[in-house]
Amino acid sequence: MDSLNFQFFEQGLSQKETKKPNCAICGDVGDGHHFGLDACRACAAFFRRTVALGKKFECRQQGACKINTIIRSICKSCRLNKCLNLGMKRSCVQPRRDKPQKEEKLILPSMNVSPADIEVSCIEVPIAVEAMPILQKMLANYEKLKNSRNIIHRREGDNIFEKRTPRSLKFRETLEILSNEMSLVADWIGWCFNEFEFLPTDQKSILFSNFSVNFIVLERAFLTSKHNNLNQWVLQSGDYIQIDNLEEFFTDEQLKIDGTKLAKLFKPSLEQNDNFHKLLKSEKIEMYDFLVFVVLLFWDHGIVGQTEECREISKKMKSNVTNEYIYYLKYIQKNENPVCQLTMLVSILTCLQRIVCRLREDMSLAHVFDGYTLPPNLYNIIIGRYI
Amino acid sequence: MEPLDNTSLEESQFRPEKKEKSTCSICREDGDGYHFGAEACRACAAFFRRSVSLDKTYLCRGNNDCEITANIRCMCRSCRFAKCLEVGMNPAGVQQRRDTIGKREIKPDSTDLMQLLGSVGDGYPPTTSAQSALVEDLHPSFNDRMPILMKMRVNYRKMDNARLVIHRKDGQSLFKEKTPKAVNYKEACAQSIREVSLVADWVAWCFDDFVTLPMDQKKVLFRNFYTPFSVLEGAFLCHINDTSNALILPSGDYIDTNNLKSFFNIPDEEQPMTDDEIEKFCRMFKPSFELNRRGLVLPMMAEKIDVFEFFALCTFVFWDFGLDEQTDDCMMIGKSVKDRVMKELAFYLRCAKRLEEPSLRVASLLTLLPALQRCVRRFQEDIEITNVFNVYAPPKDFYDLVNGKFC
Repeated sequence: MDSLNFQFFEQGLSQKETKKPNCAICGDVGDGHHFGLDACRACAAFFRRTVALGKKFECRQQGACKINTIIRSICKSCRLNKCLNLGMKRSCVQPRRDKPQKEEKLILPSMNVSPADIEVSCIEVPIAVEAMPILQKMLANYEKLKNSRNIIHRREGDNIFEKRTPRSLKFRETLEILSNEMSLVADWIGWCFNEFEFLPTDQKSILFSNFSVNFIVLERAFLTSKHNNLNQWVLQSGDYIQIDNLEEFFTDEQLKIDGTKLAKLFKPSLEQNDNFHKLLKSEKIEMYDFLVFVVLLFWDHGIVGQTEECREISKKMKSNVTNEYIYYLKYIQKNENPVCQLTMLVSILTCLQRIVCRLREDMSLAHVFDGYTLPPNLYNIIIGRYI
Repeated sequence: MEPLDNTSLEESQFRPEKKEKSTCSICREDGDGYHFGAEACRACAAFFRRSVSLDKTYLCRGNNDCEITANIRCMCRSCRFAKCLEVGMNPAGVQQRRDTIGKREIKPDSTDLMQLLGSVGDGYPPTTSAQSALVEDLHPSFNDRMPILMKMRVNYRKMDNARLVIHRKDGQSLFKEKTPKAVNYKEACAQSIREVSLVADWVAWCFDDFVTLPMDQKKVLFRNFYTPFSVLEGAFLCHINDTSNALILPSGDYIDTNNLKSFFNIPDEEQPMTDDEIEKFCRMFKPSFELNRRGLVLPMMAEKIDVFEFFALCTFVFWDFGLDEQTDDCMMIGKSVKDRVMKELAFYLRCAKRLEEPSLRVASLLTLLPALQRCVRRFQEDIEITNVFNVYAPPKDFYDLVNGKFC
């Protein structure tokens, strides 16, 4: 009899001390079985509200957030996914058990937000030529410039209707092309900017002499960066300089000049230009970027001899084109950081300035050593003097 | 502080007005009126006040572009605080330490200390309140989104303090206020040479990425940087002192460009120049000073460039690319730093200067860089001419300094 009583007592104790399992989702103290799974009151309530109110969540991370007692409420998307993955069933939630008053309060904010979001996403800025008048005009006239070059740079015997085959040029031929280019570019500039025509002649000269050498280097770099072979520098005529064979480039059999010395002399400059070409290529400079460069180079201010009026026109022109460019970056390129692209543009310009300085020094050296006597008009242009 | 003993009558009177309240500009919940400079609800206003008065800093786990609306629970606090700043809330409007429980200790807080340091550290007291605004400090709340620019600011003050010491003449008291004076050619050269190591230290402390570079790349960057920085800073100092007829040096002294004779006249020289020679040099170099004035100083004045914009320009000048002997790694690091600074600057222009379109302002800022390059080039050519004529041969170390052949 005594032993029997003892057994009964033991059974009673063990029953009273039985604990409910911990929450399978967050590990907190459990509250029994909810919707098919052991869960705490908080997770059970979370799951019920989510299902009953038809809520949807999106994870801001990669959908792998940790769910534990302290941070279970940080990411609702992952919390809900964990509930479902571990076996909670949506069908077990009784619909509309919350009070009607609370329902209204919870539903209204989301309804208020959705139309605004839809409205924002529906707004599309139309791509219009009217938004970028200067750049569009420059682009159209640049096409005309390219067409004119086909005629002007035609070699003797070439048929103007046949497609030209690019070929490797020598130094003297290069100079000839550059000489022919100057009046053509001046004409192009005049047709791109109405304001240019109304300036006094001396101001026109100042702007153009400041611009011309920069343009020569920039355009060649732009054309070369579009070319597949960076060892071939593309010139305005479509021909190229084979840059890994400089001795051949500088050798002139007529004048009996050996190009070896000159090639060695100019090698550092050519390496600098090479880096510049790679920079334009890696930054994916396009036609509109190139045209903006042209405007920033041409309408410079702070040039010696520039009048106050000319300077004001320059500032206005640069400001207008900058506005057009920002429009282009935002709505055509869909660039999220137009400010960074602007910075890149100006950094490239300072690179170009450095290259032009080096070029002027090289031309002075060549002139002094009498290695190559440049045509006077071209020499004056490169040095910065303009007739 | 709302009275705690509201009667039910007052409450009922207020209730109709609450329905007319505007929307919180941060979370779009019902607004509670104007708080710290913007329409905000009580929750966002309290959040902003606590963040500022308790000097809280937050870190966004996403990309600093989280959505902030009322129906998102546990919204990102970093982005919420950034949005408070964006919509115009001013940290200076928060009364310090009001949330403290118990007795309030009377002690100077960081704002007062910063102002005190500012008046000493500038070295060139601003002449007007408009000029003061150009060198004003930002509240520490901006540190999270502008770490590089804020660091440059702190270290620039330290550099200014150091300049008070290294440019002091023998016998001059450290504590006496320095009187700016016109310097001559020789003195200007000496000051530039003393500046080199100071500027190098400043740069190293501003950019963590710089410290990780190999030594040869550090030299390439700094050689390219020092002369343009000197020219740019000189123009900026003229601008914030509202002076365009003198060239102000970092020491506080100046070159009187209206009286270049005093610049080229050195009384205790072994072979003093004749008046004719001085006149010739004045005529020769006058256009260069004019170019500097018209190309840099006047545009800075017109645009009212402030100190953070000046730091952004310094960053672009320093992390240049296309330099001889520069590696691709160095270029990539430079591009990364410039991008980060651009984002900081855009944030600054939007949130501190309240510009709607930062891109336009940045474009104006960046047009100074080609002008700077031209001024530097002209300056280097002038030094070259001086060296060739050998009349005023600059000290060899100064000559090498200007042409980037040092370190």
